[in-house]
Amino acid sequence: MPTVGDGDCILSIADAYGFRDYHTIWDFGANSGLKGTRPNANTLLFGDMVVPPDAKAKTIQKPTDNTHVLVVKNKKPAKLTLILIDKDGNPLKDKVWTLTAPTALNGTTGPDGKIEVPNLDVQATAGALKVTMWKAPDPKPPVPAKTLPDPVPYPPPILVEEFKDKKPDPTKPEDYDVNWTLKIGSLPTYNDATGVQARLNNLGFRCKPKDDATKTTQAVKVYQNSMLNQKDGTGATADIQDDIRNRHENP
Amino acid sequence: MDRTAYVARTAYDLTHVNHLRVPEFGVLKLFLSFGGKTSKSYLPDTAPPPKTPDTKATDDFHFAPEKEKPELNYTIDDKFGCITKATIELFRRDVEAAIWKKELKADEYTDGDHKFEYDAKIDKSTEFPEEIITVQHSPYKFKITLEGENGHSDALFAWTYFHIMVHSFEFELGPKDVVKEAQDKALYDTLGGLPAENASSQIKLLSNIFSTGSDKADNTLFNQYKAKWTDGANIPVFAKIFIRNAADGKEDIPKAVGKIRLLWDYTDPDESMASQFDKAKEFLELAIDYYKATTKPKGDNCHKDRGGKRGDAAKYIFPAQAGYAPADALTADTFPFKVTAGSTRKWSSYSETWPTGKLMGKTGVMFQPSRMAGDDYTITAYFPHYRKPDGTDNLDVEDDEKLKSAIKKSTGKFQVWREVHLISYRKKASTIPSIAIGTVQGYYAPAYVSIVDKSGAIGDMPDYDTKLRAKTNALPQEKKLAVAAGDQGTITKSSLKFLSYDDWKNAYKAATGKNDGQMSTWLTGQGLETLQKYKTWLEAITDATIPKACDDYLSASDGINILQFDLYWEGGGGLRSGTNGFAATSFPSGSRSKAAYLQTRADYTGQGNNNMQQTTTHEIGHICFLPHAFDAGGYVNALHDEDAHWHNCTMSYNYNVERKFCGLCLLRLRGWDQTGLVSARASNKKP
Repeated sequence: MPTVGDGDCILSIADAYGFRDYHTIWDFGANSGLKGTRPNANTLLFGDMVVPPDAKAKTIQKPTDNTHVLVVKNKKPAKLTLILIDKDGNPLKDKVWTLTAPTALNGTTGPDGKIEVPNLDVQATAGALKVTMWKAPDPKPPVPAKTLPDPVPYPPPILVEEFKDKKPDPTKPEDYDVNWTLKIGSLPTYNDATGVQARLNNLGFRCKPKDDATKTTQAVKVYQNSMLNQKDGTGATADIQDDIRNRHENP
Repeated sequence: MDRTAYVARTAYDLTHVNHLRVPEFGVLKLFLSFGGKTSKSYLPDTAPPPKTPDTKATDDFHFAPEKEKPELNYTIDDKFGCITKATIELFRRDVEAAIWKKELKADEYTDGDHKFEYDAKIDKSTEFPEEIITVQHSPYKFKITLEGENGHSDALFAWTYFHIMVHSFEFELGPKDVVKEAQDKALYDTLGGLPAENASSQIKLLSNIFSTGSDKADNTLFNQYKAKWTDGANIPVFAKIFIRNAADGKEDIPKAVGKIRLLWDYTDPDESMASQFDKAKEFLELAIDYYKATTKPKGDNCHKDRGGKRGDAAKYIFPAQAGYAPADALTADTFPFKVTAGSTRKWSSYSETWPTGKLMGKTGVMFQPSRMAGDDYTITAYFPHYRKPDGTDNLDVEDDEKLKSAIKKSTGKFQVWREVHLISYRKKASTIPSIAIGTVQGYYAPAYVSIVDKSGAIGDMPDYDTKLRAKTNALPQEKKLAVAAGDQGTITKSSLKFLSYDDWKNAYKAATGKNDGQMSTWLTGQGLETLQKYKTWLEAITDATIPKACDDYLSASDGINILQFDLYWEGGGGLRSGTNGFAATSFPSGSRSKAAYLQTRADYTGQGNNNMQQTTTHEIGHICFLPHAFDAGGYVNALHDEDAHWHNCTMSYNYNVERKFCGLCLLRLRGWDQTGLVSARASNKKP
């Protein structure tokens, strides 16, 4: 009886057991309990137990002195769908992206901000996506040093160059690109703390699976404040799991 | 930027997606606000422009530390909690390190608007000894800097500027403690403050400097006056600086001033000739028109060629001072502020404020006007509000136009006068008409000489006969016998009553047993054979006797003593002295600082426009080193205006019109160097 490991979902387990359709396992009676707690077959939890049905042998008897055509149905296809959003939740269009794993693809996001990988190899657990998120500002022409009028008014105009405080390092070109390491199949179920942590991470909050309680609580509170307008949020993952699931997974 | 995403596959019959976001954070604005005014917020070029720019915000924001507490406002954009650290720092010009820093707590850099009250306090340091920001280092820059993780930011910092400004300054007479010389301390007590703008005040330099004999033509007055007052009096002029509040009002916050400088400048107003009588005016106008337009600054005060300071680059009106470190108590007899001359505007000087201590928020100079009476000055101090990093400013230039936009304050007009004391006034008899001293003072005013009457009530001459007899009894027999018998204090209002010519001859003849022939021979031998010669002889006896006899009547203090009689002497048979007055230098207690004059006529019938006041003015003129003019005995024409222009100088004996000092006398009385002046009027003008 397989246990859900990192990168596993029903799709990959079904595929590993040779089932063409994940429903063969997912709808298997022995998994009804699991199905009750994991409403999405693609978001299980590390350590979940999946009971695969016994494989059914299919016997076909055909004469040996002839040629026969046997049609084997393809596996049901899966995909990976990513939507890039801005801080307000709006899709980001016109973003140039390049996927180098698990397959090579590239493109530019449309108005829906979507990046879709069809026919996903369900055994692939690692992806690499590069998106040029921001455009470097056009270099501004150098501003000539300001000269003081004569006579100098009072108060005198500010001469920026007179202030010697250290200026931050300029933004490097690579700072405008984002390189995502995609952990495919590693999104835990929404109704577990790790699932909330992973979604917080994906939506830009400072949290990731297995972060400690303090960090998680803080991130949840930030979420409650900025997304739910709750100034004194509880910090409990359970209190945002439904909302964050919707924000993260609803098309 | 590297990120990790935990994503779900989507089965063929499902629709869920994975939303991915790269969080952005930053600061949206930073500004100060108070009283409806705000400072301008700046963001780096990479930051998106503010959605609603504050068009009313300016770089002129200013406030009054301690009296006003503006709010420092900032807006954070951090919906996703990326910020890990936020710091607000305060910078001043030319220094890389922050002069003040505040690490914000986590709840102070959350998403949204924040503000806190800014109290302007700062850690104590050499630059900020009062632990408050000051005008000295204004303008200032507030900057907020963010640090974050897990996100992207185009606005990790924002900044704003503000000023601590001078509103104005007011002048005050500095404390007496800072003056060193005794005569300056004495002068200080007479000042009573500084003249307000458009008013005027006199600086009266005590100068009881008197002739002691044959020194009226040799520039002794100039040299003695120079020895006493050298480069002039020392008057501490302080300025108290006020701070400008947010509403541009005035606040008294000395600790917010810091160490700033004022530029002290002066003008030399045109001398008014309105009170001069015409003949002197003509002489004076030519004499003061001496390189007027070419000295720096231009003016008509006494030029260096005549002993003054105008045009002398080495003589400062605001001399350099070392000053000393600010303290809670003043060092006696020491000027506290550092004063240095301008590099280009050499006649002006800079002074530094004390940033702490007893004189915190103040600065000042030792005002040292020339000693020359009649010289006048208006002081103007300027605040050089823009000081370059090298410490210089844009006011150290010769062009007056460059100073016009600076905050400034001017005093009224200071005018230098000489002060001479009338220290005692005695009359032999109360029935003798008194001298109108005010009239005499009026004759000296055009020379800027103040005859200050310190005599009090008119005194008498007690024990006159005793004092007189003590001197006449010591005379040779023939002289002693000429003195009338009786109480000389009551038998005459003159200084000395003699016998008539015949009575004296009879007395001497009886005393010596001479017969008529012997007497005649003796009189011829003595030069006393005529009544006229007898009168001259009596004049000489009086000259030799009275100053000594009356010496006890002189005040112990410095100044001029007046001893008034009705006639210098008189004798039996209607004999009378023709002397109106006598500035004797033979009083035993007389000195360079103490003099006396005998007024010896009350009835001026037959003397035209002459009178007691004219005589008094004339005799005090002698006391003040003026020689006779023209037809008077011992005259020195070279020290008077040309005869062709004015024949009736006070120092003449011409009574046909009211006598008044000629222009050259007036200038000598003012203390000018007579070697730089000539009698020929036009020659005194240059170019």
